Formats: sequence, C-alpha cells, structure tokens
Amino acid sequence: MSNPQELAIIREVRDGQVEQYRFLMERYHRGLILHLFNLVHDEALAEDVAQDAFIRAYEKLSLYNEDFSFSTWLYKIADNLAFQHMKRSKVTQNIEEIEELLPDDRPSLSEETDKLFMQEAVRDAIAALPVGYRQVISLYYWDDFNYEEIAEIMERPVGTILTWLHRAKQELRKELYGQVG
Amino acid sequence: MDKLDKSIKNAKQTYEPREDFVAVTMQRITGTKRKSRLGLKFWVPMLAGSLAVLILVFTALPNSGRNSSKSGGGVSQTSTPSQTASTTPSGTGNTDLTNDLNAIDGQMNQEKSDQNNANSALNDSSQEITVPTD
Repeated sequence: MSNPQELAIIREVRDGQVEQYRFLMERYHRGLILHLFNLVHDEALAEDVAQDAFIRAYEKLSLYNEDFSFSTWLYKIADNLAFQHMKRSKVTQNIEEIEELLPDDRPSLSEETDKLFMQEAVRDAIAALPVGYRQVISLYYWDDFNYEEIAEIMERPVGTILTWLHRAKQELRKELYGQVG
Repeated sequence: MDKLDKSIKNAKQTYEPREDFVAVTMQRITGTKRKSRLGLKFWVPMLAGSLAVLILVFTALPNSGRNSSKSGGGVSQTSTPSQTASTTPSGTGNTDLTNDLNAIDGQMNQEKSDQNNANSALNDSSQEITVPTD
C-alpha cells in the first residue's frame, strides 16, 4: 500500500500539479534505473526505458491502484517496457526452455567453494538466467520487494514467484558449481 | 540467509545514472502536456471551423439549387438525349431540386446505356476481324 505522503503527491499530480511528480522521480529513478540495468545490461537502454516508464506512469496516473505502492506499479510498467525492448532484440530466453534441464537436487555450496566465487562469476551466472528468473532475483535481492509485491509486478501468483526464485537459485548453484568442479 | 543469498545480494551491478535524468524526463512530461494544450488550441477551432463550413454548405445548397433552376442554368447544360426529361424550371424549392436530380439520374442512365452499346459494338467488330489461322 502507498504511504500517505506519496499518496498525497500522487493526488496533487492527478489534480494538475505536474511539478509534484518530480518528487516521485527523485525518490525512485536511481533504483529503477539500476533495476533495469541489471535486467538489460545496457546503461543507455536502462535509462531510456526508465524515462519511458516514468512518462507512461504519469500519463496513466488515473489508473493507478492505491492498494499497491507506487513503486510496485512503476516497476511493473518499467519491466513490461524492458521486455518489449528485449523481445524486439530477441535476447530473452523462455523459462520453460530451461526448466527441463534442471536437476531435481543439487548439493549446496560449501563455504569453502563459495569463497572462490567472485562477484563477477555470480553476475555472469545471473545474466545467463532466463529473463523471468533474472527479474525475480533482481526484485527480491536487489530491490527489496516482498513476494506479494513481486507477484503484483510480474502479474503471477505468489506460488509461481516462490517456485521461480527457488529454481533460479537452483540454476545458479548448478552454474557456479559447474565452474568450480 | 545462506552464502548463495549473500553472493547474489552482493552481485548487484551499480553505476551512477546521468545527473539530468529527472530534469530531462520532467521536460518530456511537461512538453507532452504543452503539446496537448496546443492540440486543444489548434484542433478545437479547426473542427469548429469545419463544422461551420459544412453547415453553410448544407444551408446554402438548396438556395443555390433554387436560384440556378430559376435562371435556367446549372446541371441541365450538358446535352444528351435524355435531357428532355425534366430540366426545365418548374415550381420552386424541393420540387425543382427533385426534378434536377431526376434529370441527372436520367442522364447517367443514358450515358451508361450508350457506353454499353459502344462496348458491344466494339466486341462485335473485334469478332468480325478475327481470322482463323489454320
């Protein structure tokens, strides 16, 4: 749910005080751009998509559902725009394509091996995930959304989000284990 | 939170987005707003003007039809065999217009009929010209 201060700003913008929208942008633009950057891995594209998302959110502000926080709604718009870009450039990989390749069980990483992994290796492994898994990882670990909010952003049931998060981690374990072993 | 969770958490890539992001986006937003206002200033008068012209045309048309039929001008100047139908001015107002329209219909039908005759004549002549090759 939106906080009262944010809600007041949104209502002012709806009433025609466009300049108030600046406060929302100041609050969320950095996080949104970095979220998009971790999805699309392109600074210019991330900023373009973020800009389009803010404009789209402004234009459709009358449709905003006050039951959810503004950030949830904004990220939903931004992610949809990002996926449109990615579909156009055909860099997405379906989750279904990779799910069949996943083993049921994998040994968890020992502390010793985990120390060997550099951040870069983890980033590469995340970047290689199907876009849906990547999105869940990004929203959960880096943008601090809870499961319900992620479900709202991704327009999926909470159960699906939990499954995808689990499988994303499973896939990362496999990938990182493979690099060591 | 296990080790993998921590590794993922620390793997977030960051950079500093451009400083003018908010300003540029606000410009685009207010620009869009201005554009729509311009649209109102431009399209509304244009639509009103077009509507006024249409009203003028529709109100002036019956009058001009009446005037032209009274003066004997207008649609009855082309000469075709069907012209005899009823292009001479008679009566006033809607009756004149109806007569004029009937005359035009008659002319068009006659022209179609003439065209059909010409086409069939052409077909006949082309058949006559055809010479068997063997």
